[in-house]
Amino acid sequence: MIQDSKSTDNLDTIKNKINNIPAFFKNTLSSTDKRPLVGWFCTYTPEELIVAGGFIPVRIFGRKKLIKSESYFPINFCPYIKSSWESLLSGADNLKAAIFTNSCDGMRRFFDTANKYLKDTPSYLLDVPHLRGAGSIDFFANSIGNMKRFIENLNGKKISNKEIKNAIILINNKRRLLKKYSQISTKLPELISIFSYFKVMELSMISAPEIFTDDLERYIKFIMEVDAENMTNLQPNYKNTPGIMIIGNFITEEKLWGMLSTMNLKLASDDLCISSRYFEKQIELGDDSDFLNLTAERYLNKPQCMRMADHGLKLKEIENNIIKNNIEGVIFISLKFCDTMLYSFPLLKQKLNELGIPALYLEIEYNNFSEGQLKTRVQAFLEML
Amino acid sequence: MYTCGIDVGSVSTKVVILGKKDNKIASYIIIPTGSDSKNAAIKALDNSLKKAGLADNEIEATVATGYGRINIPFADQNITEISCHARGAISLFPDLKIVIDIGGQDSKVIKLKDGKPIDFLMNDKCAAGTGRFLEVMARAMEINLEQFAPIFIKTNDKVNITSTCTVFAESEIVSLIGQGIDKNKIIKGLIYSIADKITSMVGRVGLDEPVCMAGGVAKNLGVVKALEENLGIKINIPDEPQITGALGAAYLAQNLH
Amino acid sequence: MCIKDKLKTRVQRNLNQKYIRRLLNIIAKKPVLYAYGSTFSSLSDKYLNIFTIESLRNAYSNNNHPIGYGSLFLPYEMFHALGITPFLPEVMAGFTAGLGLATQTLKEASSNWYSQDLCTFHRSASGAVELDVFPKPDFVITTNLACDAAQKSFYIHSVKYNIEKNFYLIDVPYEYSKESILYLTGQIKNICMDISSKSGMKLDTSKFKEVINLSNEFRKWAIKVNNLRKTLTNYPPYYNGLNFILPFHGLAGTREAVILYNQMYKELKKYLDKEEKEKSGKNKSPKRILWLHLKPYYKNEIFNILERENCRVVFEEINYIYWPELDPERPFESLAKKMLSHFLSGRIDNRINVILKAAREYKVDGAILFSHWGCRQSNGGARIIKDSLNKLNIPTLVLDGDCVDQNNSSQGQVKTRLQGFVEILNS
Repeated sequence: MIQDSKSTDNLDTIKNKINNIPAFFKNTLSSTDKRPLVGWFCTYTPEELIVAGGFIPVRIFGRKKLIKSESYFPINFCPYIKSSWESLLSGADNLKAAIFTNSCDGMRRFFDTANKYLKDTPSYLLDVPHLRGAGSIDFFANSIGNMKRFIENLNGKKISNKEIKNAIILINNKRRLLKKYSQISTKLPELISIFSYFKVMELSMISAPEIFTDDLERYIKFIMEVDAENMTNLQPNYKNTPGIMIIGNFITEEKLWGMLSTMNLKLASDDLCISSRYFEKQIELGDDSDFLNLTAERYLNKPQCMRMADHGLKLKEIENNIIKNNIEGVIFISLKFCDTMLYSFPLLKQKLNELGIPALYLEIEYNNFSEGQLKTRVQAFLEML
Repeated sequence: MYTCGIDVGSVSTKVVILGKKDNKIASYIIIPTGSDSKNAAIKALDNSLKKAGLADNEIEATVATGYGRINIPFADQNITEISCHARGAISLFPDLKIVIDIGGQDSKVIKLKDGKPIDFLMNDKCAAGTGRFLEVMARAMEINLEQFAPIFIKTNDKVNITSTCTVFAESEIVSLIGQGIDKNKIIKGLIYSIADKITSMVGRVGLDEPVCMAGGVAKNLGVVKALEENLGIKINIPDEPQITGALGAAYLAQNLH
Repeated sequence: MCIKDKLKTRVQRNLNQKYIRRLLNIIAKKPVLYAYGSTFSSLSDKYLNIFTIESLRNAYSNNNHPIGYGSLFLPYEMFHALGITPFLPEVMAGFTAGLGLATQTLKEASSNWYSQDLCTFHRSASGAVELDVFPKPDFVITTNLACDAAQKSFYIHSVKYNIEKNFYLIDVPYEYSKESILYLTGQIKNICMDISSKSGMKLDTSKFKEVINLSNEFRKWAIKVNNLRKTLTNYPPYYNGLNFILPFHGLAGTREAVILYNQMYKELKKYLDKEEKEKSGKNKSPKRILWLHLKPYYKNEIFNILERENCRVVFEEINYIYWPELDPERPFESLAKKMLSHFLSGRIDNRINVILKAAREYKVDGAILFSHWGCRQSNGGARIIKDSLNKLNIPTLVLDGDCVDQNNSSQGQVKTRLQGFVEILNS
């Protein structure tokens, strides 16, 4: 027993070290980097073009309490949009421009509102098709071309093919590292908390990509070394816990991640736009130098958001994910009033029933988290498994 | 001669008797509406006539307002709370731009221009952001509603109440109490949740000063303070905020004959 | 009890496909149908109801024509050219409200995991599909034009009927541009060819031409009606422009739509002539209201209250003719342009331009935006719409409610809001 306590002690120190994210990531935007920021919201926005234009792409997380924004949108309206609007209204993000997509009805109206009431920040809407296939890729490549011109006009500088290629290499590398990190944290739930996992995901979307990829590479290396040394000492608390998959939309509630981290929950996979839907699939650079087309192809063929037309394909993606990662339970979390997400549940539920996978259905608000009620439900669900 | 304004609300019925020449309130009365709004109206009128020492025939005209306005046999006309509250508030604060009225069942924000309503908003169908909401929550916490204001002032911290719906908020509060969270902090959170709702309604019509707050909840200084803090302005409160609608109705009755 | 109420209770008691089919077969017989039609006090309503029942009878009749579920805003000309009988679940959701069935359908949707926050048009239709009340489709066609909900709920219908392979989304791009026309034209053409090869119905160019010509003729009469309404203040009793949804959607490209609007023109012209004669101005002229979005399709007091308060809805946004004349020689491209011209597509500015134009042309005193619960595309723009109308000094009421679910708003609150609004208009 004495020996055990020593090794646990050791493990705790290591865990604390690994989960001390600020120590590894210089974080956000270093003051020496003079590049202006361009905001984005939806994972169908090709960051590559923003980087190529000499800007830093930052995703708007809108961690703001709603005060002013409530009077622009109805009560029953996407809480992510409202809090992002609060953030834009406050000017806190310090953006040179904001890029929207026609991802859903809410986003279209969000763009209209920004266009109308936000005078100092130019906004642009990228037209993303709902279908896949050759015609859609051509169409989307043309849309990305229009977005490229918008970015060029921001600083009056043409974007060269070489700049796009370099940006693609950079963002590809970011995606590759994020995927690697994701695989490691699924393997080592003992070491990496759910909170840390999502914190790193968030940082990947709000930091200068060059610095972030360096930091992440170093961080991964550190974890691997610790892992190699301590693997034998680890208490396999998670060995017999069932693998959970979280399916949701823009779920970035820190308190939720914190709560799940304390619950002995093994996050084995996810389908979230702040995680796998963001980093899965690379832009395939080959002989083809039509970079806009290659970019369009990657973005349309990445794991789909529920807003895409082919819901059958989405269900197939989820089914494959469940089988590949031995998922034993699904937690479905949607921000309230997200139509495309909410409409995906009836068929998903049917599919999960067929597969014999139990599901927990949660609808949450944003920046407004009621821990007590949620904890009971999640705990009961885990007990049930 | 006199005119009479009667405001039949979901919780209470208010009557104001107004002198026609001097525009002075001869008497006013507030009684609970109960289950029979017609009866309450008759009773309230009788009492206020008695209080003013007047006879029936000295009332030249009567205007009814409030949700029970249609059901009043002795009223010459019924006019909505929107026009009546606006008129009542304007008589107290002449340059007024915005009237906030938080009543028992619903709350409204009225925008005025040159003393006339030009736009208004009423709360959505749920009771969050109304007096009823506070009442239900007070009951859930077994605390007297009158204690809310002093608690609000002496408490520094608050708990965010996340549910926007009365029913869910009630169960959320029960769960917060279950977690052993300080009741005072919950109360402060509740008051802010009402103030936030009203703030967004004011934002929708566009904030403009001066602002007046009427209705029963205006007596709750906690809500007023939270609202002032949110809006960053000072809010005018009538001496008797509950009778603003009835007062406006009495003024509007002056135009009838 | 009048015949309409009797029908209502019958359907409520026998909510199944077989019964509805039997009932439609009886009513849709010529003499009965026209007798039923004449119970409506306006000619326009008469023809609307006759054509609606005929189109429903066709959809329920199990004959050899393939049935296509379609969402609003589709180019229904293609259905008629391909010989597909259209069936519009969203319009039927309006009927579930009118017939007092919505409580049942909505409950069914809820127990099948449709969130309560979703639009009741789509939820009620989904509930009806789950209850197996609608005819079985051979094709499901939908579009993302205007809203997300249709494409999502329609896909579920296609799974329910096991015809995912016959599910089509017409993906309407955001902006009207050369590339968009090309992308959309290609889609419409491909879908038509695919359906034609699956259904064995030939893609006949002369049939397409005929349908396009009929659609143009309907458009011509609808414009005439709209122009006439610019000066009209007195309407046939119970006439409500918000009832005429089917001719704009499911009936576009049919002779019925042409007849209906031709009759409507004649009827309204009579009222206008009468009005001109009686132009003595003895009555206080009514306040002119522009109506935005839809209305509740269950029994409600809104329009009676407006009538009593001397307000008249003089135009409805949904009746605006937004598309250019179609070219019978280039059917696919014309239909693509028609879709791309819709004011609910793309930026809110497209919608606002239509609203402001209507406000000026119909000289309105006020506007009412009916804010149907859960309709993000419309309600999400309410603030901008209101601000834009206020700039023209047109007071605007955003009236919260639900077009289908009667239990989702209180009559008393609606009344107070309407009266308060009228008091502002009159002050």
